[in-house]
Amino acid sequence: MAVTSEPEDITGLLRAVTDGEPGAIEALMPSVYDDLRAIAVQRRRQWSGDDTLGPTALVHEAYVRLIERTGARWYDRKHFFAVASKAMRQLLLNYAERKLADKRGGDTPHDVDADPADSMDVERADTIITIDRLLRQLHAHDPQKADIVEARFFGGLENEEIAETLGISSRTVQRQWQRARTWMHATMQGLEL
Amino acid sequence: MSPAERYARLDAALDELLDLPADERADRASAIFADEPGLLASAMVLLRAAEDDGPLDSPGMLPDTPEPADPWLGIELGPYRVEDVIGEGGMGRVYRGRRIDGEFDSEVAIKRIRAEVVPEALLQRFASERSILAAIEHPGIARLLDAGSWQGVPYLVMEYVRGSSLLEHLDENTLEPSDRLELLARLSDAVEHAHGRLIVHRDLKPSNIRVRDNGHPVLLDFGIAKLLSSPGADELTKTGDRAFTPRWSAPEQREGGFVGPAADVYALGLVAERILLGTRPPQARLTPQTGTGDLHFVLKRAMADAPEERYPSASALAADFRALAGGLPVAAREGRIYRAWSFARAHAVAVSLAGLSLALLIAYTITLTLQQQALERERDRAKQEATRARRSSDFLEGMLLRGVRGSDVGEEVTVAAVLKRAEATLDTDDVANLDLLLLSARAQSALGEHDAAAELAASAWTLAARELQPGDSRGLEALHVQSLAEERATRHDDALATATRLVREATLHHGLMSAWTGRGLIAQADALDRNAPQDATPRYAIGLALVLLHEGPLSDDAAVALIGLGFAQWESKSAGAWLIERGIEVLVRLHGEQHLRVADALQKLAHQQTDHDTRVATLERALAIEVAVAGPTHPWVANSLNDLALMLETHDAPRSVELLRQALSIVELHEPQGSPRRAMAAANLGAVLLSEGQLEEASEVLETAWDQLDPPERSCITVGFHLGRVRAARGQHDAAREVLESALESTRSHTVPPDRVKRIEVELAALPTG
Repeated sequence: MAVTSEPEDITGLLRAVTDGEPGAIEALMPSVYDDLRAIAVQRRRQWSGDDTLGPTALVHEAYVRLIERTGARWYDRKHFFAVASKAMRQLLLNYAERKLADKRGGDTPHDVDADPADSMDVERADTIITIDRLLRQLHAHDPQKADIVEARFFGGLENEEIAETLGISSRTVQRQWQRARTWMHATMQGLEL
Repeated sequence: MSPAERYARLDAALDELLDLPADERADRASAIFADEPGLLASAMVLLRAAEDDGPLDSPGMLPDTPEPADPWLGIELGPYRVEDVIGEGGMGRVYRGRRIDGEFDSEVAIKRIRAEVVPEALLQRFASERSILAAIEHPGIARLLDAGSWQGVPYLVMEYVRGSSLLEHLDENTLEPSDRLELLARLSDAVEHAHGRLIVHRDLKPSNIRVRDNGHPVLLDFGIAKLLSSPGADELTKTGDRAFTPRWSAPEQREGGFVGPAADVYALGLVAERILLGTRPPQARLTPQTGTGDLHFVLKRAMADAPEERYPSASALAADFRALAGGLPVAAREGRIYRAWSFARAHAVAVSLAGLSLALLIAYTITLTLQQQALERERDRAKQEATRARRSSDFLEGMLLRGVRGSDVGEEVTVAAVLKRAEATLDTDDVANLDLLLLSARAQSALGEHDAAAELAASAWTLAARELQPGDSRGLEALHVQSLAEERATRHDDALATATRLVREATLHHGLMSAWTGRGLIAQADALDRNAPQDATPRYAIGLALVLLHEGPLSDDAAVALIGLGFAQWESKSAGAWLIERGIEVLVRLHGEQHLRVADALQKLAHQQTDHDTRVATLERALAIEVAVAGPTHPWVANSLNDLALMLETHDAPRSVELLRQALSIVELHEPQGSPRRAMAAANLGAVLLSEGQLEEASEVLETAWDQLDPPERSCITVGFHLGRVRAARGQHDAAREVLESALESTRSHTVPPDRVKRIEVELAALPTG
């Protein structure tokens, strides 16, 4: 579990992120991560049926929660989305790893009783881990494409939101995304990057 | 072609290809990569991937399913297995568990703490406090057995108490009033036991009480409320805690005031009300008198609004519960003399260990309770102090500004330099600067500049004596700071004189039993303890009683007195060690383990310990703290390494050598060639190397040290003695004779114990002649 920061710290960090201070995103991530996880768990407790717990809903709810909690006048959502996508990636990756560890019969601990990892099937867990790994490779060649994949796949963001977050046009996002998903799928089929 | 070039080529091509209709792409790709079959093959894989759907096209990640079983069930936490859920409390879920490592089969209760209650960052504090809690052993207190975290979720493992909850027990059994009173008395005994170890429950209520099958009550969660208290809360004021149940708490707790043993006494009163009268707070506060009315007085006294109006201890309350049961007169109705007796009894352990007669202390404490007014004045003083504490950050800022202003741009500014500069501009004749002077004195003291600190404090005292009302606490504080600084500067006589003045001023203006008198007595004792421990001991003991009364057990003054008393204790080493351990507990609770004062107290503790392994462990702990706080190459570390090495010399010589090597290399960093400390570090290492037969290294170390000395310096005696032995062992008889004679010659310029001279002469005589 990441350390839960005090609201004052978070407000300061938000400002640092907005000001583009190096390392600020990484510093804010644990808090956002905790929120996302808490929401995911809460949703799993409350919901029934076949609803899908998508990242879009989670990320947007985490945003509202953060604003409520800190009272921050942080109108600049784009920075939050960048942080939230990274946090969401980490969250899903953790769930996936736990799922696979369970499958292997390991005695992996669960940290919450309504563990969203339980709802993830093994195939999906495998996919997430693969995507995370390939995304790191892609990032080495082409950071912008990797950021777009992260924001779209893990953060559940729309092209408009990604464009806002990355400071590029949504047309560029669309074109880059097409190539990025192509690269990713091709590498999943064995193409070397 | 590098992977990066390959990627760039393919990606550029892909950009172009994706703009084309799907059925034209393959042809175009073949044209682009006509001469590069490898790239063409890759491009074809990409084109296929572009047309097919893949996992990235559906970001929905977590389909929902029904809630799974509690994942904690069946897991193993160290030697314990979680078996089933037995309850849900404010701080989280409680499980029944079992010890499964085969040692012995026993049931435990495992509390899983909700993450909101204890963030992981607090776990470290958890670890340090739990060792204190784990030390409580009393049949009326459920033991804390273990604690840890699993996947970031903290848990506590506690003794599992068979039986029933208090309220079930009351419902299911017909209890006579005397049974109920005995149950309350036993509860109070348990609380007293913990208070004696400086642990306050803070959350006493019926749901934290179970009753064993034999009818004896057991308190759960002792000290846990403290453990869970807010991390931001100021440790010294004990405010801002939130881990308590408002309905079952004392007024000072709800108002965020000091929460001490008196809060538990209040809570015992509430529980007694529930058990005896069946009322629950906040319902009917004290139903009208029942029976003889004694019960009314007992409850009223236990639940007085002002903490100092309550029973002075849980044991005093226990005594009244038993008096009620036996139809005897209760203390609640009696005057203050009785209370003084209770106080004396409550603190009798520490005092009798100090070798003071109990009667003397009772006489003192009776006087003391009669001085209620002095107490109230002290309370006002505490309030003023709080206001001043708030203002001290302003002072500091002002002082830093004074100091920084005088520095050149770009100059590296150290705290010491800033202080010095600020002090130079301070008008020591202006009473408005009094607080600034005091603060500077404390700061200099913290920087180790004890003479400077004493001088500043002396100016502050002069100013206070001239300008302020006699007995003003700032003047007394100045004397206190001055005395401590003089003592640390090893000016024992000055320190004693200043402390004596403090005692006189405090007694004159605040009464014999004031907290300032206590502090003065402790300062006197500090100044005395090396040369006159028999005079130090009673001062420590009375000073301790006074600061305990005014400040409670958790204060720096109490810690100083406990440690001083334990160190000066000349009758029994084990009693001394006991007292120092209590003092260390206080320090650790106030400042945490990693504090130089803890390290210093541990050195004193080692002095009073008789078992070799225990002493080594104590010194190792002190060394670890110094390394953590001051860094591995601080001069203090060298001293501790040296002490530890000498302790290990006969038991573990190789380790001893290693430690002495480290000590010497640290000393070499800080001390000039030929300095006495450097010479002694070399002498110690050389001596142990010699006794280990490592003549080469011994010779190298001692010859180097010897070359840096000028006879008849004092260091020549020891270094020359060991070097002479080393040279003799290497068969260099003439050289040995030369150095031993030089050492012997040096003894004539100093006061040296005769056996030291004798040993050099013996070595000389042992050398073959000719």
